[in-house]
Amino acid sequence: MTTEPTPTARDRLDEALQWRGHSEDKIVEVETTKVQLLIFAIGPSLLALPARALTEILPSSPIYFVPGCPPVIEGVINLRGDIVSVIRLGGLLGLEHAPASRATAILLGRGRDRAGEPIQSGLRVDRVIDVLALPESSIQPPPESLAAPLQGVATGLFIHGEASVILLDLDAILARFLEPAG
Amino acid sequence: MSGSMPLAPAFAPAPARALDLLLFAVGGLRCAISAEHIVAIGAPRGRAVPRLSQLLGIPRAQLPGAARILRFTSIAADSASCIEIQVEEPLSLCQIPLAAIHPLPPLIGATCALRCVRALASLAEQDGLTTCVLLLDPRQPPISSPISLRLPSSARAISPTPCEGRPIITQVLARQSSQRP
Repeated sequence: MTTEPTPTARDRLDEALQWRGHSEDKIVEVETTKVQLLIFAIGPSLLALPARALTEILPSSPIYFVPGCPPVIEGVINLRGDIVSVIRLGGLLGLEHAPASRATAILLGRGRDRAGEPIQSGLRVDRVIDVLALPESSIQPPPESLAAPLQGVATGLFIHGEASVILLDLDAILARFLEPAG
Repeated sequence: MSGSMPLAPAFAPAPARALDLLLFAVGGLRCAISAEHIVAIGAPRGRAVPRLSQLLGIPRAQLPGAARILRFTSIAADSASCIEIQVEEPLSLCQIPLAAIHPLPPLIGATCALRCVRALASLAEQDGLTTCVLLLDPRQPPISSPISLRLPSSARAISPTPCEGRPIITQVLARQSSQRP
């Protein structure tokens, strides 16, 4: 003798399954603001800049020395007929560059000085590591233990793989560089 | 019906589309001075003439070219004087289109301690590659103790005074910067 399932119990299960099915159809949207970053290395240090501050990644190209400039200015490059300065980013941040290699790259940065005037310059880095979109929530404030040259230009810290990456502010870097010049 | 004939636009001389430059080497760098400022080119012949590479703080090239003496006019506010410096071969005269002449990039313009470094030019080489040339301003020679010589009156007569004494490089850069966004 078989017992017919009660219509009430079946209905409830059907409702439950139906509810589950519909709930899986729905896309749960979680509001997360992401920021696109470019991670690069200078010596053993990993650093990042917001992608919006960069316009191009150039392979290492001939750099022409300009006399009379501070040592962190490596010179100028000819970028498709335009002349662009190149600064040794490590020199501004108190970091030692690795010897030049095929991985050496020039990031074309676009920032603003204190007066709000746009400034374009190449930034020499030892190698480009990655480009990624990172939730803002995963960026921690920079630790107070950062070396002095990084303080004031580092805006955050995040983990990439197993390494810590320091997020930089290009406008702050350029402003600090131009400070002594008045 | 009375009407006046439209007047033809006043004739304005077409601006120069290229700049004549004297190119030379300085410690492995390519430099140039507007050719209109050059008075003479000669050999050192044992004379003590300051080396431009030393004045600019440029390390000596591994294989420096033969030394040459450039004599050029340097126009000050009230007078013109003649200055001699030692540069290196190869020397050449070339015409660079105005579009190839660039003001110093902002970071360099703001921090360069040498006021004689006035502009940069991208120059196409014979091998198809391009190189950068430093354009030096003859008005601000990098000489702390002037060795300038007064020009003889005949030489002063040919001293370049284009456009109210402004060297043409200044006019070119002003035009370039006004055309840039």
